[in-house]
Amino acid sequence: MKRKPILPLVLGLICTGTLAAWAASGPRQEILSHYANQAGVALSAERGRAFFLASQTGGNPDTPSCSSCHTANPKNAGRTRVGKVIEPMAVSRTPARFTDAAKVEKWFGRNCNTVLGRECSSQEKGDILAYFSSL
Amino acid sequence: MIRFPKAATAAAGCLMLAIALPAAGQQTAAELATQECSACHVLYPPSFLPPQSWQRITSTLDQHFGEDASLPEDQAAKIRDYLVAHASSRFPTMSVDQAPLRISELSWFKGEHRRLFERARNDPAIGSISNCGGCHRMDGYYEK
Repeated sequence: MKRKPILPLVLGLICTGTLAAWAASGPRQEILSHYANQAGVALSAERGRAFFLASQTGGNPDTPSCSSCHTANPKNAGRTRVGKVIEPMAVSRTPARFTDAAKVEKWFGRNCNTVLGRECSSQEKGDILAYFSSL
Repeated sequence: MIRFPKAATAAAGCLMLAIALPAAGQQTAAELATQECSACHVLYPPSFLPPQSWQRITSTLDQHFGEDASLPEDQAAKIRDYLVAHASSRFPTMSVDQAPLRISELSWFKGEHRRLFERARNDPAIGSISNCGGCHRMDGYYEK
């Protein structure tokens, strides 16, 4: 009997396995861990919820809260100030959310400055993401 | 017949996939402008404003009509070049400082939308005169 070449199969498995692991390793989990490490405390979805709903000062008075645009329920779609729909922030409703670290940082950078007039801390960012991921 | 060793074929396929994945992120300036601008509003037609306006707008994205819309400078520059290249040529001598920032303040726009500013503001389904898609088909013809 002719011996079946085993090498291609092994290489194929390694290739598929690596790609699958890369896709499933949880980019969102990595982002959460990064903020938790930076903050030095365990993240809290409950603190995130309170921060999300709080009325802030220091930023644009037209948008005093995250919920000004995202609505008080992150499972709902929000609207930008000019009326464009924002897909829900809840991961259960928009599964692609928070899987791109650069995009997450970009939007925290912009929106914290717009709403609070300052950067958000790693704990604030992590808590918010924990809240959105828990819904 | 020349037979490629299957192992080599598998390895080459794996390598090509690894190269193709990041390459899929390469965007044209038009795609980048559409993606970034329309994250918050429709991509307003570049030809609605002169190049001086687009220079002003893309240089002050951290204070964009009350919002921080900052972008990394390389992306802002790529979008600026695209908008300037497709801008209106109607105001060749206008200085950047005098260039209008709002399409909705241009006289032709106000003339076309005279009674619609208030209606757009008061209709929750539209929200603002800046939400073109609230009334218009956004397919390049702007039919109502």
